[in-house]
Amino acid sequence: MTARVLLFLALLSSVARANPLDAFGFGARAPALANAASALADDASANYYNPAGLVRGSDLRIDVAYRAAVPHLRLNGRDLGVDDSRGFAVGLAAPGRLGPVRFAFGASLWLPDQRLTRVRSISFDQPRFVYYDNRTQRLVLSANLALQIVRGLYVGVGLTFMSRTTGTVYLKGNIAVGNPDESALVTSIDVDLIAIRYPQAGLLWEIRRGLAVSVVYRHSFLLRSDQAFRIDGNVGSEGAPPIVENGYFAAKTSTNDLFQPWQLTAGVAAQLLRPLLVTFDLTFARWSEFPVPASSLELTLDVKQFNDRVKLPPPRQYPPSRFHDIVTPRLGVEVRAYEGGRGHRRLAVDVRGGYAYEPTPVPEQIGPASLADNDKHTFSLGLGLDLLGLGPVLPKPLSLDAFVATTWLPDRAHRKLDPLDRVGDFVSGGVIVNAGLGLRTRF
Amino acid sequence: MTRITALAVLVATLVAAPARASLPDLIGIGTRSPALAGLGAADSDDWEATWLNPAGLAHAPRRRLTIGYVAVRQRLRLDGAPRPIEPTDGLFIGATLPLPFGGALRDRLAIGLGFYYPFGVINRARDAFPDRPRLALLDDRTQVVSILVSLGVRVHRRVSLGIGVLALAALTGEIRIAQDATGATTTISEQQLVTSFAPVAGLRIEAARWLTVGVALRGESRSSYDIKIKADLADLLPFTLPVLRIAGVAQYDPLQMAFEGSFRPTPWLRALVGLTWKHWSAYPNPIENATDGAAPLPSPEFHDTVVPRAGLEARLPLDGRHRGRLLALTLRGGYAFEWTPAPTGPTRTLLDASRHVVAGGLGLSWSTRRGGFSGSLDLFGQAHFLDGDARATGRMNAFGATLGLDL
Repeated sequence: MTARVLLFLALLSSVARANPLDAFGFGARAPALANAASALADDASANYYNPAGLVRGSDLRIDVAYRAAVPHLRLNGRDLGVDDSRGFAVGLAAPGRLGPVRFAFGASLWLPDQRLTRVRSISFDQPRFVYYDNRTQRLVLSANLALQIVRGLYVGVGLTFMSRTTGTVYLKGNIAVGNPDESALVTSIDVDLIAIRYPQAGLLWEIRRGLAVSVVYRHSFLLRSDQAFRIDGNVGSEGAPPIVENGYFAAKTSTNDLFQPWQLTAGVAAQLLRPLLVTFDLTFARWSEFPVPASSLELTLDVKQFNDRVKLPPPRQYPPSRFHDIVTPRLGVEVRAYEGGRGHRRLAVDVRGGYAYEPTPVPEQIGPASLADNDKHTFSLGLGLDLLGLGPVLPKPLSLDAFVATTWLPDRAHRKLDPLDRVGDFVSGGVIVNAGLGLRTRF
Repeated sequence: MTRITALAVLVATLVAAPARASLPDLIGIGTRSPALAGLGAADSDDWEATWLNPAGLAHAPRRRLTIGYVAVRQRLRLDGAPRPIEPTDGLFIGATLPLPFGGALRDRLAIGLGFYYPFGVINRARDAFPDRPRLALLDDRTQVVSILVSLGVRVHRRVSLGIGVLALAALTGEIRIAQDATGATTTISEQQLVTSFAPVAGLRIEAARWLTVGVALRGESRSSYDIKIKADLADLLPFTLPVLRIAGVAQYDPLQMAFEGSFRPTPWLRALVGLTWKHWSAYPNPIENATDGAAPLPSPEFHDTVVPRAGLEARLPLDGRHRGRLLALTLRGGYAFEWTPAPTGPTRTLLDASRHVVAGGLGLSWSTRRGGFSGSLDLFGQAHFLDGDARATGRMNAFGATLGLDL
């Protein structure tokens, strides 16, 4: 019965909150290549895939894309009703020169169209898709600088900004007995939304025309939310002597909102034949540092003569998560299917495809936690149009991209050691469909 | 984040005491405008135009990236007692990107980006209990990130228009404290950061070779928060806690309209004057009661204000063509009177005072003839002297520096 209740709670409230760029990529070209783009990106998407790529081109580039990921994730065969992840990806790459040195400034923004950030903590026992539930839905803002060391060798560094909340709310007044809604409490607040910055760096080497290799490092971060409130005052009915005079009640909670492992990616992009481009990325992700996704709560109070009647339970101890590190291979292929035109007007059509395999870092859930996650197979397809000669207003090429990707999570069974476990054995699995459109402009 | 440590030490020695507030409205954005006491709506053509008047972006001569540092320190007194306020140290990043379209759109469009980031803080909500006196505008207006994106369009040789947005964040959500299935107390929370956009729009007219006028409308911007706290601890406590609503406005800038003129009596000298109307009468209570049973809070009763500003800018060529470089030194100065919108009285708790703003700055710009290394280094300093309410006194100082590089 309890297991059903907990499962029902999970069904009611599970929401997809993946770190959107790690989970679904940036722009509309790279996701069509299964996000194997660390040695390829030379447009605004380099802000995410490899900041060194920003300085490869000499044009000002402004890209905008919209994409939507629709998850159908199941627990014991029932769809959890996980939220869509939708939003705009906007970025720019602005190259320039400082004397003989080529450099570039880049910035990118992932802007969800529902909300900037969603932070959610749930009870430790409640089943959830930890990859999508713990890694929250949020705005991602990144700024990068890149420079050319020698011809063909580029380096880029940057910062990505996230946020966390910390602070205390103080209240004072009277808590009404009988009807709490008649309580008279006023507020004082001291809460900060603090910026968390994590660095990223990339190196890109164009060995020869049509062959480039890359290394990208993205640092880890843990967003921890610390919030507290304290009520000082009396307990009693209006007009009557207080039952408790000058007492207090305080609660302090800490929650691990979002964790990202540090990641190291090695990539290659090779123009094997004139119309055929192959890209490959291998990413190591340090998931073994994943903390326990639980809240800690500390309650203190002084209710005078009632203190002896209050027995606050001790803080609960949680078992470690025991995630393990993973290596994710990604492969992308782009074929120039058509190239032609008349006069100054040129049209090129690229067909793209890709595959990625991301093993789950989550061990089988045999204890009290029920963190669902699965291996992920991503298949992607895309189409790109390069338009040139659009007239004097747009003298440089304009690119339109479209993609659709499907991530398949094959069913995985979790068998609990404790036959009386409140959740019991469960099976997780599902599919996520991700699609998007993008426009890349050069000036 | 790269902290410009040496500059911070320099700033710490030059400025006096602490501050935090809505920075664009309080001191301006960038370094040129703050050195002119907040002027620039008529002739700004770099990233500062994202806030001052986006129409100016259409006149941006080249692609430029600007990075800078700003520090604000306040030494204020409230009812005669020192009012310590944390210092503000922040980072500016700005970019102007003329869009090199061809044909009919040639040299007509430009994008501007502005980013102000107070070190370490995206948004700060601080407010005392409603019955306690505090500095409504200098103390309680928050440190908050400002993100500005604007577009300028030259619609005629002498007329340009601009539009943009200032993005702020608003926090909503719920925190529930309850016992979990094992009987332990736990927290279940959901909080969302949603966007709040304030529009910025402007018009700039080159009325004559010696006169440019600008009009800018900046929409009301507010960063609010609204969090409910529910404690389901009936089995543990001898009384029931009410649902607590923690709500208020962490940052508020009023709707405002700026009218400015920039006069050039000689090629090297500019004189700027302007008036800014601010709709402070819409100022909301910065914090709400946590429960309905508390006595209603009195209205702030702020009134609209008009801020006069005047400034001078002199551009002095230095040694002309030193090794092919063109060097110029620019000197700036300005004055503004920030009339307080807050009513006075012994029982008031939202206090403020009018401010005399004295500002100055200098800039060194250089360029090379053959597309080499060109840019500018600009500095500013501002001093705000509080005047007009004996309950709120003191001084506020601001200092900043920016380095702009042409790409």
